[in-house]
Amino acid sequence: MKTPIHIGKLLLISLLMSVVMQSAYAERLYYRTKGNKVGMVDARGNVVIPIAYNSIEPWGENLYKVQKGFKSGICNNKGQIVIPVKYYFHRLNDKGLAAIALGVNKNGLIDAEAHFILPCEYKYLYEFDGDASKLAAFGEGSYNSFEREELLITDCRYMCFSNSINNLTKCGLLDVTNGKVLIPAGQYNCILKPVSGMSRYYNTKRSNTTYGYVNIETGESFEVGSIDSKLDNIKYMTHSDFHGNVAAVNNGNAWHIINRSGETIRNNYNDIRFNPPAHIWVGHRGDGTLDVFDEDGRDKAGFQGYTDIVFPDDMGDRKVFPLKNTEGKWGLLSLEGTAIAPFLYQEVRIGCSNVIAVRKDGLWGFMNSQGKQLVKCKYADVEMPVEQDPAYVWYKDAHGFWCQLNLNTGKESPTEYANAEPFRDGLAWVRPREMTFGGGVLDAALTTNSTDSISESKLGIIINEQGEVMFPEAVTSELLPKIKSLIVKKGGGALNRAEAHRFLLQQSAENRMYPMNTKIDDNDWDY
Amino acid sequence: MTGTIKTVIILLLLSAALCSTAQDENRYRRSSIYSILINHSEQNFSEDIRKAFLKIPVPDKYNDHNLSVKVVTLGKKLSGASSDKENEQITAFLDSNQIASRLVGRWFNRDIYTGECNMDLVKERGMYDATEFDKEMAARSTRGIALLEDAGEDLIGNTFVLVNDIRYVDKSKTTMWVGIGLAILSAGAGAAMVANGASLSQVNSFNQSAQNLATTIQNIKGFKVKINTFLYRLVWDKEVASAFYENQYSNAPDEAKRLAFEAARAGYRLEYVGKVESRASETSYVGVNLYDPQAMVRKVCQRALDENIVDLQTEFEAFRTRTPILTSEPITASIGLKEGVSKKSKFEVLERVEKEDGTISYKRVGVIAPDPDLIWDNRYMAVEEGAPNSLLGKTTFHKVSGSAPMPGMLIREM
Repeated sequence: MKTPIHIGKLLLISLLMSVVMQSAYAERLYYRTKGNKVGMVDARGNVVIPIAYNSIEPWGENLYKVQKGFKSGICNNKGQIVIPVKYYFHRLNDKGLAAIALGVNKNGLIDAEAHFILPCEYKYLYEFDGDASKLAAFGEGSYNSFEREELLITDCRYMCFSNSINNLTKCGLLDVTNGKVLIPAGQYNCILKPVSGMSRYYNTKRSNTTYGYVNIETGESFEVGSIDSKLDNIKYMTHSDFHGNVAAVNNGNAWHIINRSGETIRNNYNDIRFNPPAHIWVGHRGDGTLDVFDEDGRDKAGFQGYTDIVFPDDMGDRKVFPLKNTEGKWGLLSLEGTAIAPFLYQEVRIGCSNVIAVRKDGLWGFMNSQGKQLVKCKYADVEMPVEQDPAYVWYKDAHGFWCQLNLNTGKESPTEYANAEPFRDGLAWVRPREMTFGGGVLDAALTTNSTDSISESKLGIIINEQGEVMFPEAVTSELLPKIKSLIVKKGGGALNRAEAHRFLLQQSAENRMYPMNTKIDDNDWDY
Repeated sequence: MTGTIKTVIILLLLSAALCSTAQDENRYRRSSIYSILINHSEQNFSEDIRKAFLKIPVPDKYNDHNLSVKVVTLGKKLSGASSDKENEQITAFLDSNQIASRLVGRWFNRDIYTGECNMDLVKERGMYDATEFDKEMAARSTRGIALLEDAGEDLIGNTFVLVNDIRYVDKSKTTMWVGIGLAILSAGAGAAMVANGASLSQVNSFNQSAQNLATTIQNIKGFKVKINTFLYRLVWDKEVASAFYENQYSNAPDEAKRLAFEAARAGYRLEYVGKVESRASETSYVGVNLYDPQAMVRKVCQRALDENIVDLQTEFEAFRTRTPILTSEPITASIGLKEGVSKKSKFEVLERVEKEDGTISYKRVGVIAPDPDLIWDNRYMAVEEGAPNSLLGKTTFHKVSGSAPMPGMLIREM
């Protein structure tokens, strides 16, 4: 027999629960204004933070940034001043750090708990550029561009500082986690972000620049070269970051590898590369030989005796590398150096997918990253997939057109396209063999934020893996992700012509404007 | 065990009910607007104004009924811009481009290639029970006809076009604010200099950089626009509606009805309601990132447009918005300075009444007024500006007359 629920008990318990839930907000404060001033009161209306500030906003948890005029401070939820109201604050970034200044040229950092990470002592503080690609893209010497509109967007693990208002070189280096000065200011014209505990430096005197490394743990430095050129005029990469315990140095004729003491342990390479995901270095010599070695400079077992190697763009969870042997044939090795695929191939293409394209006897096929042949080498050309375990890929048929191939069944679709891009989430951009363009050209042309017209070869349609047209208007491939979202919103159904037209108009809205005194073409309207 | 689970569930539900909760403030009928910019290409900052305008969202008290054309350009002043009379140039543009018919097309999600229409948007914005609505339409019942009339009056007939003629107010006399500008930069936005370095090529040109920045600051500080906003309303009466439903509406591809609508486009009309002009007042640059002048353009334009919308609501009752009451103890609503709430405002409280035939009407049940110290400053970038009351999140009211307002009731400024 079931026990009846007593309503009275129920109400009492739920009241208690409600009180408990509401008590979670007991410390919550509420804004209260008087004229142009604001303060904060508790739930009973008692003033906690005086109604004396121009603005108050939350800071981290249970803290408030209070502002009078241009100056701010931090108050806790008991009204106690934690940081006096005499600073200039920037906003907290997503890592809970904020720039703070005590007047001009006294800058520091605080966190979301109002702790000073760096005291307000620095005239200038710099982040290292977060975009690693820029480090190699420009000429040596103009190290990183720090100009940006937002502050503290990198991890700020290390920052540079300078106390010279007229000379923004000769920076020092700070470890922001503990505020320790790793490199005093004034020693080097230019220092770069530490990697593996070592920071590259440059020093220029008159027209000569010397370069080397500073060990940020010991403070010791060593020079590795010099060049008769000012810093801004150096045209080639002089020395790389340390990766592990070795770095590459360019003496103008060849690369050589040094250890942390500056001793050369390998030399005479024409080019040097480092693969971060695999932690391996590769160097080509003039005689065609290839050295593959680890972050300690030791030969990588199983990787010796080859003449070339391909580093994939994205290792993913694959640990395979195409290598070329002395007979000019390509095969696959695992990261441990064991054979994955035999050295039979004229060419190997490897991208971010776990499906690899191989060429034998002039024809292409596919294998997976375990070395298993998926499709025999029988095609004039193939398009590399971009997904893991793709169901469909593209091959070029005897007429020079692209066709769909089911990797699982080997079935070839007869539909030919002039151009095709890999499938992503079940959709692919293709350019039909015969495609007519109406107003779709104008719409599509403007979706790339340019008023220049787009070459018709860049315009196509979107199909699914069954070859069905999912977006019938002419469009560039870069819009595929947005089109995918629309299709998902429509429950997976294809967009009709009107829907596609409206989408393109929406995409190009920023680039379209019309003279007021003319009648706008009907094709530029969505309804 | 089952009894225990039931008890827990009931307790949780009761507890939730005892804690105050905000109503779903999105579930109420709104007017619909389509907003166009007249961009003066002969002026400085026309490109900045255009970009800023395109970023400004439809105010959340209105439905977005925008069409694909948002910007038209004019290489000279709009003639008659300062007059309150209907502007011939604007009306000619709206007529020649058959805007009224396109607004109707949008209401019914009309496929321009096949003529197929549906009532999805009407159902969504009218908050009708979708299944009931479809049933009554299919049966062509009296109730169904009443629902269509209701949708026509309260929804489709409340579709507006705002044509915004925005002109930059050129400063012919400029004071050099270099020194003060820099001082403000380094003092008020001193932290902006922190962690903001320079590439080596700028090492020896710091002073020059500072000078350019001062010029930028000077432009930012004094940026002003003047906006004339012209208001038009879609004409949707019984005659228009009847012709549409009988001859042009089809819920499947229909070439004859498609052509009938195309032929009838010129017959759809917009009527001129009125016009307001912005005050071109000073907008504080505080809170604006001085390294992003575009942000100041947007702030100035958005505040001026919001002010114009408030003025249009004040002058033209049909354009006034309704806002739901969030809580009853205290009385609050998500409305503030942006909507023109002031110490002198008074709001009528409206109770939504659903009649037997499913149509909706509103009955006044009281009047409320805002607490002067608790008016939310929800103007664009008020928080960044550090404006008092910018973080309130809602405005608090007190009852003036009538019965106690309840969450879900709507308020409308009187």
